[in-house]
Amino acid sequence: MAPDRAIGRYRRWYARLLRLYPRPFQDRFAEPMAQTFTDLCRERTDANRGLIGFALATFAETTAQIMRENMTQLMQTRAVIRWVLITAAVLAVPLLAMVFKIGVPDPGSGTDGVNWGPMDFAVMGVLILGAGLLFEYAASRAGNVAHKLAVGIAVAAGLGLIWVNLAVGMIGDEGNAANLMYVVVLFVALVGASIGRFEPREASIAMFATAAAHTVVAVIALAVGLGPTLPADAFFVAAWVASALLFRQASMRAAVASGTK
Amino acid sequence: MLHILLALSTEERHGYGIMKQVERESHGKVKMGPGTLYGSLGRMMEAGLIRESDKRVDPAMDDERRIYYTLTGLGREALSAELDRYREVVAVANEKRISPSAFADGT
Repeated sequence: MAPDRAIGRYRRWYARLLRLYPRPFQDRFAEPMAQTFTDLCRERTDANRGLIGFALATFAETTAQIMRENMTQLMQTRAVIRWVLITAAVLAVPLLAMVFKIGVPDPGSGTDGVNWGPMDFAVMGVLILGAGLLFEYAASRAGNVAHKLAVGIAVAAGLGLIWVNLAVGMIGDEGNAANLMYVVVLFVALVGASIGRFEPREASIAMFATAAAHTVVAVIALAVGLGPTLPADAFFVAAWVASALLFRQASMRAAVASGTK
Repeated sequence: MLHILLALSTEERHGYGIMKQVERESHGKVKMGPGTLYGSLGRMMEAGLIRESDKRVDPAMDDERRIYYTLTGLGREALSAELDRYREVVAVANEKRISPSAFADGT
């Protein structure tokens, strides 16, 4: 491949990666960073050195910095404090129920009351906080209300799916290995949205794909007689589809606003 | 950050120019990727140590227009203060007759 063509291709990929920076950083530095990357590529090709290793190393270095800048931005906002408080409030419910022995039936533990161990609190805390920060990150890239709502529904559905599977299991009980099929559903949602950089059009496709993956899992479970919880599956599929439709609406609104439609 | 301040102390430079100058002045020991460089530039701009200069073509390179970065008055003061601090540290080491090879044997 001719060096200029290869450099052009790597620059396009690098420019796509730079879109993961927080918007203000991106607006200020994306262009000079892409230029500097191109200069470094030229320096290597002029010295008859390969580009693949250099490009991979630079992509990894820049990815680490992207994570740092996004974390810095999150910490600067009140998002982290807000979600720590929300997590504490949610975890306080089972804690208080245990302390005051409030008789809330807990099918997961097979007891008449809530009976959470330290690991239950830790896992749930990480899940809620992680989902909250993921929502903040994705919502910070949202340009309109439909986009934010779509992100909220998708994150809530993902969190709910994990929660239900850990607590009682969508198929059988929480110990049933068939529930691992739902990991594929979450994988499609997360990887699809990430590849599309949480842009509404791409995220819409990812959410439709997630709804399809969830439907396939439910159909497989039904076909092999695993006894899936169809109402719960229907609820989650509806949530994925609702999120997809909202992402699509957000994409159309954004196109109208920018006059590109 | 000190390396970037030093690189900009003599003239304004664009991103690639800063990288190469830092590499030259550190004898190849300090190599920054674009993510690290522009992350530092962003923080230094926020701190008022440097600012963007004009956007122009570098005649030694291609015909793309590039943003140049230059030291502010505060940046010059910060560089001067930091160099003074280093000189004082080296002076103390000299008074104690500690040379760079003093601990080479690991003792």
